[in-house]
Amino acid sequence: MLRVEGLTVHHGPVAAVVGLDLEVRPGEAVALLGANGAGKTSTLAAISRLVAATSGTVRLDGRPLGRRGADQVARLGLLHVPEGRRVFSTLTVHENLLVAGSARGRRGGGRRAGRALLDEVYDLFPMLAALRDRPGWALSGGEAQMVAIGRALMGMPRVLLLDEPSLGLAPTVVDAVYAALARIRERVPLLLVEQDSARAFELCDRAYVLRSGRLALAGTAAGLRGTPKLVAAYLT
Amino acid sequence: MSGFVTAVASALTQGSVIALIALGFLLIYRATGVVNFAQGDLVTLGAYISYWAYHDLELTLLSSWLIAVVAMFVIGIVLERFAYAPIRHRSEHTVVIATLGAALVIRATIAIWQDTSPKFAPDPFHGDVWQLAGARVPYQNLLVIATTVVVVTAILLLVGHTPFGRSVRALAADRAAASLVGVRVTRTSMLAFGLSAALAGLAGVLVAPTQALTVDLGFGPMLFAFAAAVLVGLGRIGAVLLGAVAIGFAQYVVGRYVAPDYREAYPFVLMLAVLAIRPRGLFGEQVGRRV
Repeated sequence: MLRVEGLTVHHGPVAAVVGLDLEVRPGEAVALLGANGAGKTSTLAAISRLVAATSGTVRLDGRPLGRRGADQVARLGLLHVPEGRRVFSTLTVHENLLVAGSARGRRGGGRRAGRALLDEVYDLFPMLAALRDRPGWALSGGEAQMVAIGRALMGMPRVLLLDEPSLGLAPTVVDAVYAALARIRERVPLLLVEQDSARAFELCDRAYVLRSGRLALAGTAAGLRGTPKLVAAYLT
Repeated sequence: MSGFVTAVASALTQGSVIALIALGFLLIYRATGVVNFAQGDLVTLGAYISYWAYHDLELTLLSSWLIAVVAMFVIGIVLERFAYAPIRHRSEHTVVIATLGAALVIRATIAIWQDTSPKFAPDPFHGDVWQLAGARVPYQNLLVIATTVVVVTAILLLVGHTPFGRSVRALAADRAAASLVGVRVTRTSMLAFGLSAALAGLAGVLVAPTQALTVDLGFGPMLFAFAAAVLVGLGRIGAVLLGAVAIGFAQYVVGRYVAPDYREAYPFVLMLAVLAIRPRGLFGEQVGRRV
């Protein structure tokens, strides 16, 4: 599905990610863990072309992304829910969802498909239906996270990249977000960056652990959960 | 009284021309983050194209105007492809300098093509005026105002209620996030340049009959339009109308009664005064981005 080979990302002179290989297979949810500054966000940003990688290839269904820009990558169905939600502050909730329909590109345009997807998103996050006409700047963190995820779903993702969906949210709100992610993962393969490794292990099948931009550990969620001390050593 | 009516009519006419140009500024700025300083020369080019279509192609005046506006749309897209697209990943300053370069190229091209002697664009009303409370308001001024009202309404609807408009607003709110949701960055910026140039061309054909047509036609109005856009904070499209009319009033109403010799400076005095009090402009977005 999604295969990353030899990914290296620099921020100025500093190497944020070095020679990373990872893979998300069909039907799989994969966690990307690590301490602050381990290179998780940089990895997602390089996959979605939000930042340019120094080297390495990213393939979606075996086809390299080549020199495509972020918007073209999104239209291929590789959708990235960025750190900090980045909801469009001047657009209403509904408009945030509508504009994200652009990512369907030629893969399934049609007004009918759009309406069905809108219904799905409002069904997944019922509280958004009441906030339809509220502008992005007036949303709480949890509401904004739901809009950000809903927005990505409007683009019919083939793989969904999620960057810390629980960051800064109250535990009950995190529960709601993860309940939605559990439903989404049944249809869409996920690559999840998360600080909260317990949440990540619950949702995901496998995990990669980064340390200083390099792969430190990889394994099944069940296996890694069995070695909490080892994992903790890399996450702090 | 008649003096006041004349002043208000001039202010509204000037405000309308400025609004069309400022709207073009804003469309490009919102869609791409770039201030296009070729806008004034696009105004001039639009006026010259209609002049050429009328005199050399011997079209009717109305068709010459339409042709000019359509041609300007295409020229806007060409401008985007050659002056903006190749360098859009560079710093904003680089791009702004490139638009200044494009402005000089357009101006030089006009000078070579039509020479620099003043031309006189035909007035569809042959100088007829409307008698209003003793004032004589040229029909051309009324046409400028009416056309602007219609066009600005259309642009507001376009930006507020169409997929193109949503894309522009999403790009303006957060360019990176907009590309992450697949907004067609290239197509939107081409359309924004095209529309913006068409608006400039429309301003050009409307203003040309009211004065001599020279290669400097659009330069002054562009500076005023820039002042109008900055005055209201380069933000909401509706607000720029207010800014444009305010500039028109500063120039022609205030300028009529207070030190008329300096009225060309009033728009900039107004802009600086507003920026001194509200650095982000009258309606500049004060809402910070949530993190």
